[in-house]
Amino acid sequence: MKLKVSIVVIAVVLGVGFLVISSSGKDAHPHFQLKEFYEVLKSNPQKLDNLFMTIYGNVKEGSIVKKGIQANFIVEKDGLELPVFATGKNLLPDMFKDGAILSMDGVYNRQLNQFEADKVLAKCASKYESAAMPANMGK
Amino acid sequence: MVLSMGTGLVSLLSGIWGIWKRDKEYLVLSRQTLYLHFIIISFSLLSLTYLLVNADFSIAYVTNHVNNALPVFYRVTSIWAGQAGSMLFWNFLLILFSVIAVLHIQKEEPVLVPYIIVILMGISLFFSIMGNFSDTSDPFRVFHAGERIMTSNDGRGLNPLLQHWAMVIHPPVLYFGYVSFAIPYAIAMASLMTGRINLKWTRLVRRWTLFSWFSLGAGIMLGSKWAYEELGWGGYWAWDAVENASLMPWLTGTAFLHSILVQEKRGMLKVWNMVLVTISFLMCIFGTFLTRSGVVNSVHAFANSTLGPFFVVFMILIVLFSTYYIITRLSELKSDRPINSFLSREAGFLFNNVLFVVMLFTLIWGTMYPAFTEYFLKEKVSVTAIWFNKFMVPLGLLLMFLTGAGPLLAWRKTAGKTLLKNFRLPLTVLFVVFFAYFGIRYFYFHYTSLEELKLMAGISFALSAFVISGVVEEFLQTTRARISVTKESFFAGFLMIFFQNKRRYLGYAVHLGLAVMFVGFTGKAFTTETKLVLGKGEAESFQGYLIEVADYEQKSFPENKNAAPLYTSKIVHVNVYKDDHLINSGKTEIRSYPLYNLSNGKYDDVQDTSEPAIMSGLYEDVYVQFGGIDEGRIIIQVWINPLVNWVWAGFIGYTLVLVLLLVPFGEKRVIAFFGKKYNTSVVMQGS
Repeated sequence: MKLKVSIVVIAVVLGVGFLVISSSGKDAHPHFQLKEFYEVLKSNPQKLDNLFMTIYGNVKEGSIVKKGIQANFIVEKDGLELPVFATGKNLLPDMFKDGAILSMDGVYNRQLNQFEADKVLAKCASKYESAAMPANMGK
Repeated sequence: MVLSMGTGLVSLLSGIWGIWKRDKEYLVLSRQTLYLHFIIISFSLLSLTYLLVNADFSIAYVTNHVNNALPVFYRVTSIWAGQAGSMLFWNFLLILFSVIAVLHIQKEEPVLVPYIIVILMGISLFFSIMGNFSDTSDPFRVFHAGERIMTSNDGRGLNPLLQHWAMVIHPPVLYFGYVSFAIPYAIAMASLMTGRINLKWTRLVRRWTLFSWFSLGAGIMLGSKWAYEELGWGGYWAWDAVENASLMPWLTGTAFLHSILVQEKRGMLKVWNMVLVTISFLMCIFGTFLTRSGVVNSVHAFANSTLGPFFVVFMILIVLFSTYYIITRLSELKSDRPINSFLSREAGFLFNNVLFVVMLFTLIWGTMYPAFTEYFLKEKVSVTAIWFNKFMVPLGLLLMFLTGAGPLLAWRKTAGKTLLKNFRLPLTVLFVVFFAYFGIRYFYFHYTSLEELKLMAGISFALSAFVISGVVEEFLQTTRARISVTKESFFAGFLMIFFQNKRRYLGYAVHLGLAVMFVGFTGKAFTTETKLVLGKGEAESFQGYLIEVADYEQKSFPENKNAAPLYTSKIVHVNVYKDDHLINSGKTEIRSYPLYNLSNGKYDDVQDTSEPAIMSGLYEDVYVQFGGIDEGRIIIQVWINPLVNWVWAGFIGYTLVLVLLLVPFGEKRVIAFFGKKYNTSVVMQGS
């Protein structure tokens, strides 16, 4: 009986473990900092076509142009910039504003040279203190 | 903070020395320094509270979380609004629980106490070291020279998102859970170190584990309630890294609560219980690490922390320490007997444990996947909520089946006749609900494809009904058996069964609460959403409701014109009609809180918060969030969220039952309280 129980337990653990590990690449998408995004765009632009991805960047001061729940703005980091169009599929977060640190899910439109973000996340509650600190604080 | 490190160190070292040299004087010193340590940490916490309440802006933490306009209540809750305060609060709770545990165990099993103190002091010292050596964890840090450049005397204030009743109690309740798991861990390790691996340690950890498990569950649900009411995105769970982090120790804690039962009743799973209590505590530290280190991204959006390496080293030490003692005591941890049958309660518990561990692995894998891929493949990739649902939903359903089936199985082996008798009603209910669900979907709503029929939802409803009917049948049978002896009224007898054998029947009642919550979770499968663009006085239909924008206004709060506005708000008043009848009204807002800009000393920064209108019913919620104005027309996003109230109802049940389980109030006291109405000795036989 002990052997039977052990076999069943091991089979369940290994079976589900295998499924978990082997399937994780299928429902996944890459994350890019702006610098990495431009590296891929330069070396292999086709790779980005219709690729759902997450891009990180900071909202450029004064770049936000809102139209209802949609918005055009620019994200910047490390001296690089990327125009973004928030499609309005999801509402923009409360902390979306100039200087906010964003994580944006969407696809890159090469023809328009803009990132079309369906979902935008900005810094929220538990990291508020650091996000709110001016650059010279905490150093 | 420095003193607390000193007392922690003295208590730890004198404890180790006392154990090593068997010197009672050092053991007494270790215990007394623990009490001193508690006094010092409490003083630190009180000092921080004083600084926050009095808005001492020479302190960086105070400046970042308090402003002159913030009410005193929120100034106090700012203790856990940021990292440094949270870490101090963590340490305070740890020492508070340590003192309570030591005072209790000193009476029950004094030989374990020195070891327990050494382990708990080791953990506390870790947090004291972080407070002293990490800039981001020191709540008393004054501004460095040239760092504080604003001109007027004010602070940033508490993040408006945190100014919500659920967010006031969610962090401390969750911390109760995270921190108190250190006590069962310390008791288990002390038992291993002393070689006293008898039944007593499982009895000593039982109430602590229950308390931790209850607090974690309550903390998770309060966080969900806050997200649902405050974030305005229509949901309460998103498989976010921080949410997952809190679920991890809850899963292993649930497994542990069941597996210690097997050890107590059958003398089995002794090694496994030691492993499980270690994993549970490790998951509490891992959860804190995920929340505070910035190793993965989250909507809670953490980063820029210096704490990661501290936590990694600490977790490695826990693993090495626990593994060493488990291995050295392996021969004494052998099971008294093997599992005799798959159709036994112990086998049910074992498979429930396997499922919990598999779920834990899935959660860790999915949560850490971006960190793994970034480290090993040099490309950061994350899995989606769809991936989590793909695994966690079927695993959760299997778990639901075991939740219902476990109590119907007998210890050792369930005879065929008993099996049939016990499963007859629950299985009948399961199939009735299952076929009724598909019948209604197919014949009434005319859905034909599997996707439209929503197979998983049907299984989930059926399994929830299976659990509920099994528990209700058990309650009814026990009540009938009881009142046939006691001659009580049915209602009194029904109430008394919960005090007759609290652990068993209140345990079943927890199952009932979880099944109700599962019904609510299943409602998520039927959520629908849309965006409406309406003028004032216009209405549009959605999912059988007519949703009208009744009014739009902008206001400042408080409305008293002499007071400075706390926030300004754009408010949309919404009416919801069904069959031409007004069934509910509400208002959704976007509030704008002026924020003090530390870099120029002006209130030129703004923090917006979304305030949804949630119009709840037993069957579904109409959830409306104002999105903005487009060419004079109002944009609202509408979600129809079925069965959400079942989630909260199940949670309230879970909470009430667990509070009853935790309070030391059994049948004897109930009888003493309400008066003796029947022959107690007869009743107690059934206890």
